[in-house]
Amino acid sequence: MSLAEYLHAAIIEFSDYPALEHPDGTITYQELYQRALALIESPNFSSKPAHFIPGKGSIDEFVKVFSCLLAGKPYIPLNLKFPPERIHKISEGVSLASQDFLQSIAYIIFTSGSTGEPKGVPISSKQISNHIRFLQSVIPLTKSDRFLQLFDFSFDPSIVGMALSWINGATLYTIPTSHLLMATRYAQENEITVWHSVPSVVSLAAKAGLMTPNSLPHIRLAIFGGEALPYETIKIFSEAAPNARLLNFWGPTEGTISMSHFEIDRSLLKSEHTSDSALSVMPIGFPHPDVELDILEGELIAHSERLTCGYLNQPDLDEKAFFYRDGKRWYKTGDLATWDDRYGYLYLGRIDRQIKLKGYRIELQECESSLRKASSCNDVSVIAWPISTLGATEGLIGFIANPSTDITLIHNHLMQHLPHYMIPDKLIALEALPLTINGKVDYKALENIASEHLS
Amino acid sequence: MIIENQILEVFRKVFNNPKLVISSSMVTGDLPGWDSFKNVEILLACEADFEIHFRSKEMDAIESIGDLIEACEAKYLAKNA
Repeated sequence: MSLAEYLHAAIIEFSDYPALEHPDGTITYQELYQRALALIESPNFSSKPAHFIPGKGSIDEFVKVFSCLLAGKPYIPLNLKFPPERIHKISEGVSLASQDFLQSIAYIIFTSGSTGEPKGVPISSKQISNHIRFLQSVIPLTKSDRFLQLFDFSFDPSIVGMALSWINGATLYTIPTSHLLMATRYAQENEITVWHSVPSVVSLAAKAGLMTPNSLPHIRLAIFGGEALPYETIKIFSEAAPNARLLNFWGPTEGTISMSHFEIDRSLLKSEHTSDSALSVMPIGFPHPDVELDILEGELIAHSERLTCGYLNQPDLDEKAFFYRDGKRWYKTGDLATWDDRYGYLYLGRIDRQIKLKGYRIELQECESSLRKASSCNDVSVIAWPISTLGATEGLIGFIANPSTDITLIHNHLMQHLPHYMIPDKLIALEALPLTINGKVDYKALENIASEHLS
Repeated sequence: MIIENQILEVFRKVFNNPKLVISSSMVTGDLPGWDSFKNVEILLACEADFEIHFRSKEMDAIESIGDLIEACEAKYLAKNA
């Protein structure tokens, strides 16, 4: 069955159940369907080959996404934080795509590109249907579930919440983006049963004192993804949500949301800090049945029918990211990984965060790992800065998201654990690490902070 | 007015800027560094200062500084009625 067929079946079976609980009101499956039907039958909908979702997160936008999934029309999620120039480039790119091509597409997510041009990643209806069918087998929901939607439309995990909820008669619960980090209070008061977020939401909520033991007793399923999940973060969450199954998903947008996952056994989380280095960041685990993963010169590569057909109108990028081996098409994920017989694949960081400083090869993740230990703070980052006009790295700057941290003490600790060339020249204590709109660490913003502090 | 002034002090403390000027129409993003993390700090600081507790449905209605002042006033007055 396709995703559209699953959705049609759910509308009939769960018509009187709430499909969406939104700050502006609650709508049932029947109401969602009626509003979608009205939209689908409007000339404005049928005449357009694809639909843009501006990213306000309104009920109308949820109806529009539902309509697109139901009618097999591609949707292109934007974000209110996108500058006009970026939106212009995106709409220009979509307008160049042929109608025949767009007919097979479910959505196109635009990610940031290293060249400054946004990269459009088209995913077909068949690919998303296959993936949702698999997720359904791993994390089955019921009509009693209440799924907390913390991802905005422009981040592809948002589709998991909508699709899994709406094919099972569950309620998708949304909160205003400005109160994202108060998610724990929403979860407590509204008896949320399914949590889905990037790990940063947990670590920042914990820092604000909002992630106390047993504060989330209704959560039965917790899904993490989008960035590395440190041991300390999942440990805090496991205590806040003592009844939750804990899962760490991994995958690039290019591979249809996720390609592997690791179910975290609570017996692995007994101690305050782990002595098992394989668990300092949660494993990304084992590939999904329709995915092959391998490691090529340290980099995780992936093959699957779920890989995007290629970046929208950017064949030069395809050549860099995709290659053929043994007759199969593989994607170079840019993630560093290693294999562990117990836990599957272990995430080691990004390949593009490897730098050379005065001839020394340095993995910034390694500096961060030491800084994390030295500061007893999860939210740290190390960047290469400044960069000379010739592009050479001239130093390292470390950031710790704890304004009351003792910099001298941390520096002394690092002196004991890292080669001198890997110790940041300067450590800056912040209240919080700046995050991108997708909740990941914003390295560009850190460079600006470094520039302000040290100019 | 007293609550408005106290909220101004909350913002000055959270943004570490004793000269910060705010207006009731301002929303998240209107001040440098005002993101969802700062929102948590602002809400928790207001809760501590006024000894109130926002329910999630009440937070839904808080978009601007004006909404925050209104919500704090209503909660504070209800508590002291």
